[in-house]
Amino acid sequence: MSTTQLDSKSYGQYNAKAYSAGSPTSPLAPTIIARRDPGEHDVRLEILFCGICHSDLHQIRNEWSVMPTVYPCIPGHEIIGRVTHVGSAVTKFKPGDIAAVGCLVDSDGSCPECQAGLEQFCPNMILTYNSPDAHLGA
Amino acid sequence: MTYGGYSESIVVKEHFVFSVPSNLNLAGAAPLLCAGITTYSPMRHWGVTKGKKVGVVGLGGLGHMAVKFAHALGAHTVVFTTSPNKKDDALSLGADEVVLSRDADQMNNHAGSFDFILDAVSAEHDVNAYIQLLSSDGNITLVGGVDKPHAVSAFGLLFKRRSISGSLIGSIAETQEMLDFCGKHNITADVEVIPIQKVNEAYERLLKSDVKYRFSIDMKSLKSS
Repeated sequence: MSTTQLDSKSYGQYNAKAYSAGSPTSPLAPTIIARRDPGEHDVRLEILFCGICHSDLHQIRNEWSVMPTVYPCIPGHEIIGRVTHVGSAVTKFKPGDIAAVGCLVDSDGSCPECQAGLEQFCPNMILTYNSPDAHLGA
Repeated sequence: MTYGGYSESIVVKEHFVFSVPSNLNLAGAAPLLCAGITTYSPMRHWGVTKGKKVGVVGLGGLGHMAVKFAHALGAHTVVFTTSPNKKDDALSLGADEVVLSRDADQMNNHAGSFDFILDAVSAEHDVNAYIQLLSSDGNITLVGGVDKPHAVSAFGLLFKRRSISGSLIGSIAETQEMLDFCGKHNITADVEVIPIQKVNEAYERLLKSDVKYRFSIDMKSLKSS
């Protein structure tokens, strides 16, 4: 567990199509969001399939008192995609590979939980949606 | 804020990206990343294996994955449901037995007999009815995000040193292990594939449990939105 460190560098960005909720009562609707350009440790995926989890619905409707929703909210944490870009330090993936992303996109790598290989209990973990984005701002 | 997968692309640090076994159906593999790991991780933690008796409460997106995993891990797998019409589905997913949870006689027949129960219900319900089914040192793990606190009987836990736990997804290494296990056993979620234009309709159906068992959005539909 030495590979991760919460990274707060800023990057260039590009636009991506998405579906978002603007409030607890509004339906999801098409939108354009900013994604960061891949850094040296990053992988960019073209998303092929995304599962619908009940968490998505709880989050867009702001039903969890422990995790208030910040709008606009773009849910989805059951992601299968095809790798399109990899950073210079990436070793496990190359363009064309089929890859997946789940509920976590970052953790601090230094807390006792991360050191024990339990990133899902990291107090500073970054969830795939509705977490502060260190790269593009909250 | 971070933005999730209802999008045409995403950029993620390599450590948090997984390899997908090449034999898996991709639409059905997507739900493994939450429904899959959320049920796989507590089963591994609590030692679900051949010779154990395992219960699964709630046959939805998470529950149907739990049945597949418990069966593949070799456990005697029992599904609890309120709907008699889910019995055949549960058996075809790999359950060895189905118990109607509203039938007190059927529940009592299993008192004190389970090594492990995975409770995947996300609505309010009585967990004590399941605690009394656990054997000595048996554990029930909650994975449903019920906002209102559960009422738990202390005596239900004192007798037989039973325990109640929660579990949240799984680690990065364990998620890769789960995907590799799915590749080896050819396990994916049972999905209904929809275009993203039907997502709001899918939410209404999800609230009525009108899906077997997970929606998977075909994201190429986003190109035409």
